[in-house]
Amino acid sequence: MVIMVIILFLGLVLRLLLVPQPGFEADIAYWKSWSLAASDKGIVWLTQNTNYNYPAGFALVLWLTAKIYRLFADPANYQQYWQTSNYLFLLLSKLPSIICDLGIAWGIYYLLRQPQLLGLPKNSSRLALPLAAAFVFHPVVFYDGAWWGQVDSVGVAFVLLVLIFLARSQPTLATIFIISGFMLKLQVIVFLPLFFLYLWRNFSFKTMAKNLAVAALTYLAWSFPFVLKNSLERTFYLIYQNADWFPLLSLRAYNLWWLVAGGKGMEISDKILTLGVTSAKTMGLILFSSFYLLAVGLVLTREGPKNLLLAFILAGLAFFLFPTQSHERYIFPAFCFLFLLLPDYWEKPAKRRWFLLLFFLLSVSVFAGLNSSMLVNYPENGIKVFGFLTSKNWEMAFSLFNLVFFFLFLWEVGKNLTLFWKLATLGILVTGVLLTNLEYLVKKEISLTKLKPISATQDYGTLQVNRNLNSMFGPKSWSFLSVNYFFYRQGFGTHANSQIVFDLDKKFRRLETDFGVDTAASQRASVVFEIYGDGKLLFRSQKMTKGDLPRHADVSLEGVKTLLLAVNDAGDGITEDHANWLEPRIYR
Amino acid sequence: MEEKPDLKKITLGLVLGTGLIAVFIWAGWTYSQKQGLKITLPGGTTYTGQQSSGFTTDNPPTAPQRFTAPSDDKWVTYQGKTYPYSFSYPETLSLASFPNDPLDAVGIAWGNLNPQFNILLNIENIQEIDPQYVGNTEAFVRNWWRRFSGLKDVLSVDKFTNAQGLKGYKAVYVNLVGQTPNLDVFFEVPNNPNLVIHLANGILDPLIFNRIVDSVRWNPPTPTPTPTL
Repeated sequence: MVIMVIILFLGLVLRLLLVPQPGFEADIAYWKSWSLAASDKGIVWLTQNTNYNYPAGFALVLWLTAKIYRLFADPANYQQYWQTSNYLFLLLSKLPSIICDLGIAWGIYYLLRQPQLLGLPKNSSRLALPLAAAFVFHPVVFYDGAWWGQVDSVGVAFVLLVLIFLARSQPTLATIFIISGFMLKLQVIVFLPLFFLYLWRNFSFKTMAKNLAVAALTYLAWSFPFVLKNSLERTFYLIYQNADWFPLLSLRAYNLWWLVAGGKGMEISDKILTLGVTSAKTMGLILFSSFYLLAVGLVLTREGPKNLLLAFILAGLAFFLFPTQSHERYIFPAFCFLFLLLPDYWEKPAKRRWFLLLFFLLSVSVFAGLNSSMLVNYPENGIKVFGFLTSKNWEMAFSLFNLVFFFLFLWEVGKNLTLFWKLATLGILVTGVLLTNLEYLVKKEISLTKLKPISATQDYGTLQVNRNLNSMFGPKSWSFLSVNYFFYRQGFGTHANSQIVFDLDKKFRRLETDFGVDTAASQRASVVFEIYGDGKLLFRSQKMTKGDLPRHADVSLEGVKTLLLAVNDAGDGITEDHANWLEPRIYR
Repeated sequence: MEEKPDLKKITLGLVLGTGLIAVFIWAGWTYSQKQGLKITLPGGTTYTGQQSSGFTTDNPPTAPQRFTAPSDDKWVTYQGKTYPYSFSYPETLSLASFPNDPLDAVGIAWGNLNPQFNILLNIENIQEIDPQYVGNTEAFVRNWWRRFSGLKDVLSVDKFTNAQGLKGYKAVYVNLVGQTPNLDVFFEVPNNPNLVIHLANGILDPLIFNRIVDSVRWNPPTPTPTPTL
């Protein structure tokens, strides 16, 4: 115990030494902005008036950070507060992850000292100290929190507590902690379905139902500032707004999409087409759902928290590797949980060697991912000596290795699964791809509205799909697309100057569409419609004004990779230029 | 029989541990005080607070109207966050960048000036501003003032090439009261007629500003092949 305390203390010292590192400056700058807003204007105001995109519970942490900051310094002192080397803020903002790093190390120590809790080998206890120490001093762990300034370890610490309470047959406490973790770090959402299925499988349906109620109450408790302001719906918005926050293939996550993009995952929209008309985003979700089903199978097939741990790792790795828009840090939870698996392989030297080798390589890959991201964004804040790992070849190698690691892990845990689960996984994968391509395969034509644009810009309002422009004001304003009272069910409602870009990947040969000025526009509306294929003008309409009947365009798309639908203001300004693309259809 | 905990040792450990933690925090704070002045503001829709009376406490009460730097001041390099530009500036000049800023702007955080209103450099996209000037940067520069309600004309536009070989234009615009307080510099971006690098002298001493202008470089990345699945 004394040695463990010394390890934790040394881990704390190491992290305190790293606190002055400015870290990922954008993250810290947002913490500063959001904590100041929460403190000055209130938590609900923060979520309604800024680009805050974390769960509701984290706003409380930021609020507290600013309140403590105020005890020692004035956050309104502009020059001091916004300095990247503002030590007091760096210390306060990094403190949660530092505490959680040490808490996770303690959790690993606790679980290995009592191996029967997780169903680990009996002699795991002798590995408790070395593994806890390995965790505390692992570069990936202290880089993510104390160096970078992120709070991934907060989510992990809460999930580890969940495992401990489940192992001790305390499901209510486990529920409180998993929901708390979710309210602080959104990525914990990946573990929620597995957790409740575990309650059902290992306790009873009644226990699961009871704990769903506990979960709801815990959610409400964390959301109390929103409840008081009658704004609970905002807490839901904070969750789902992230669904398309960074619409790119990969946010420097060395995963499938980084590999596919040849290292340009930050530059390519995740709405590009992959198989048929399945976008990269949808394909990522199909792949993730398929592998997630295996994690579900692990929980439902066998009892015991060890299986839940394996399911968490599997789901965590899949969450990092397959969905688009994944961050480099999303592998962190699965990486931390892998520490608990080493005892399984320790007694068999051959397996031990393999595990250690693979874990070492994974460590290098994850560390390189974090450091490369830092070096690319803030060259002065990363560890330059490892700068060579940012080369394309290394990045491709790491992406490939991470996928190999996943499939090796899948092979290993797959031994616990019946054929049913493996076939079901394959079934979801195939069904998902087929369903998203059904219209394309059967009818050989599809509505362009079924494709998501890779970009859409317009000088007023936001693009509306199958509704007119004024529908952007909310459900009460929803209205059909129409031109001079000719109504259409499908199409795009937009406003000059507008550019809607689609990736067609040379899969279509023809586009047919109607177009015109929306009935709701006033007499001042006047626009010109244009269609471009790979930058070449394919069609230009006459000037269209209010009252004109809808017109029709039929253009060849042979060999076209990128389609652009443009509406310009006809040279007289954009006033009232509500414009519609109507029933646009593309043919194979 | 369980051994009784030694309270003396525990107390000593706690005191020693707390003392050491205090020392490390002090060391970290001291180290951070010696770091260069750099301000990073969040991008997008954010909140930067209201300035209190303490807003100017860190600035010299007799701050001159224009920033100048001692001749022996060390010059360091600033690298664009989104675009591959770079320039040198005196270490004592505090710069602020704005994360996720599409213009990749750099503000000056000096005196009691808000860097968001004191931009030293930003990238302008002619294609987005006025496509008719794509490929004709000089015309873009001559008409640049039309976008700003505080300006009414252009006094002069002079072509030049800086020490790094970048072709540019020095422009003087006339404000509504007939004054010409600023010098604006626009650089063409090699092989990209859509973009220009725009610098404004603002509060900088002309000698400092000219040296910064001469140091501006454009370092395009190596192209990589397009992806396939």
